[in-house]
Amino acid sequence: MRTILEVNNLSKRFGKIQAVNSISFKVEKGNVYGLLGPNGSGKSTTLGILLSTINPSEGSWSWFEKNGTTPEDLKKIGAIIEHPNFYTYLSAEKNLKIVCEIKGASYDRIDQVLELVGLLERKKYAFSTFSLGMKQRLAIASAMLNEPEVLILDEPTNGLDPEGIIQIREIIKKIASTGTTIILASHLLDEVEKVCSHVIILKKGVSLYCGTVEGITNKNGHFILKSNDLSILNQELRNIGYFSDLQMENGFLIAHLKEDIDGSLLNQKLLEKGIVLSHLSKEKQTLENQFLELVKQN
Amino acid sequence: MKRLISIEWLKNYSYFPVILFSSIYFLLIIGFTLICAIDSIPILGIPVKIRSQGLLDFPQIWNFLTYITALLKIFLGFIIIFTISNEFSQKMFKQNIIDGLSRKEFILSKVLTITLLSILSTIVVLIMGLILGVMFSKSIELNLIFREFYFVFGYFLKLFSFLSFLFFITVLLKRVVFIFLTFFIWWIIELVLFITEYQSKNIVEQFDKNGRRITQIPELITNYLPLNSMSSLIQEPFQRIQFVNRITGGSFTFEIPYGSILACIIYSALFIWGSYFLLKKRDW
Repeated sequence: MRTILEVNNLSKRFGKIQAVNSISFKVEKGNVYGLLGPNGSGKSTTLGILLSTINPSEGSWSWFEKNGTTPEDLKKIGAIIEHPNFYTYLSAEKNLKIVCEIKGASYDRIDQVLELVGLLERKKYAFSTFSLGMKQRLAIASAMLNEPEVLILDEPTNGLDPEGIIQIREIIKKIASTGTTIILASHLLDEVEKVCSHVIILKKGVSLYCGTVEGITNKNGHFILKSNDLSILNQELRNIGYFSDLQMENGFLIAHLKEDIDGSLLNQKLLEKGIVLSHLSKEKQTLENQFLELVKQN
Repeated sequence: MKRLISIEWLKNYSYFPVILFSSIYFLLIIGFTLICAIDSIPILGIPVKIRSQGLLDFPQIWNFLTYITALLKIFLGFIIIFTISNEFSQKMFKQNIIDGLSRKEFILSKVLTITLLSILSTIVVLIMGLILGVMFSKSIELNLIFREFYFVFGYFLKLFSFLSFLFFITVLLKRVVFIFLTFFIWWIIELVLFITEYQSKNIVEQFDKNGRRITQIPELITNYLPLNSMSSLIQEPFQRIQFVNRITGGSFTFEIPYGSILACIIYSALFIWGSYFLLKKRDW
């Protein structure tokens, strides 16, 4: 699989504040990545560096397997950073014409991308007359003008009403289904869980995890178990050694997994020891639990 | 190049301050030169006769017209200040970069705008000069028309370096209020430095028997400060009027101010390079 972006030990210091601290991660073609982290965790700074608007203090990165960020790379990247930025006195169409000129895209694309985000009938209206949701959709349209290989969205649903949020998500899903690689920075966990296949988790400028969403939700899943004698069960589970933690809860035993194993394997192991279960269910962690746990640990 | 010009055109042609200040500017220039055609202009009740004083004769018409119209250059300056500060206040510079415009291209597009504005204004003044000169000059000979053609070039350089200066302080300060304040303070400082240096030279005014001033004014370093070198590109034309000469005891000789030309070119280059340096160095 082709590597779209590779980041190695990237750091940025603003005076005394270490905004980004030796971050490394990799983005592969066709996946949808969530860049997760609380406010102030260095998401926007990292994206700023990768988009060449912020000078890094240390570290290296490569777009499309070439070092650094050149204007030519940027023409193949569609990016939306926090606020939709347009010339307020110009119409949607004229604003997109400017972006076409910068990116070297054809003017024919303007109607296509406006159609994609449902703003075609507003193309002659001045940007200043748009609602926030429309501005955000226009920003996505603008980012899609040059049929980018990768789309970067920084908090795209920030400040939108529920309807606006759903519209944006639908558009993101539509774009993802065409095979465009997407990097979505957000602090909204359910949003990331709904649209992303991979996550990168940042905290205070450090990357805590980089991999598939399943990898993180499976890894520390848990079994909910019950048998006639819970104390023997408890003892045996301790001996098996698959578990990091065992807890009693309402007459059930909650066994937290160290690594992912199958329910049938556990059942078989326990049968061999002569323990018959009256209840066995396996539950994945939600991304939210996992995220909070990771952030707490580190 | 064509791409950068079309980007600049799309950005600016319907921007209100651009329309406002360019209309004011060109209407004033054209209006003013038309007024010059009137035989006697009453200013504060005193009839001013530009025509009969010979200011519309070739070659001094170039000196006169470029000197007067250059006083209006601040309106072109407003266009530069408002359009470029808008790029920063609306975060459009950042967006342009993200969309794939390089910092060099951004600078180049602004330098192109400055160049085109200066050329346009120079052409207007050139045309007005030719029209007025052909209509009112005592003699129309090619060698007279072109003898002091330097002023047309000087006018272009004056606009170009002035706009480059404003470009630099706009990139440096980004906010319109600070830009105006700094421009004003800079201007005062140059004036104060100039006066201080002039006085420190203890220049004594001397006149010959005919009442002509023969004082030798030594080279002043402060003449080479940015705004001062821009203003010395075009000599003050009123000494060319005999009547004024009689009162002040001055005399006029046409000289091309090579020192100021060089200073202005160097300053423009520094201002443009400085803007590029700031764009590169800063985090956006």
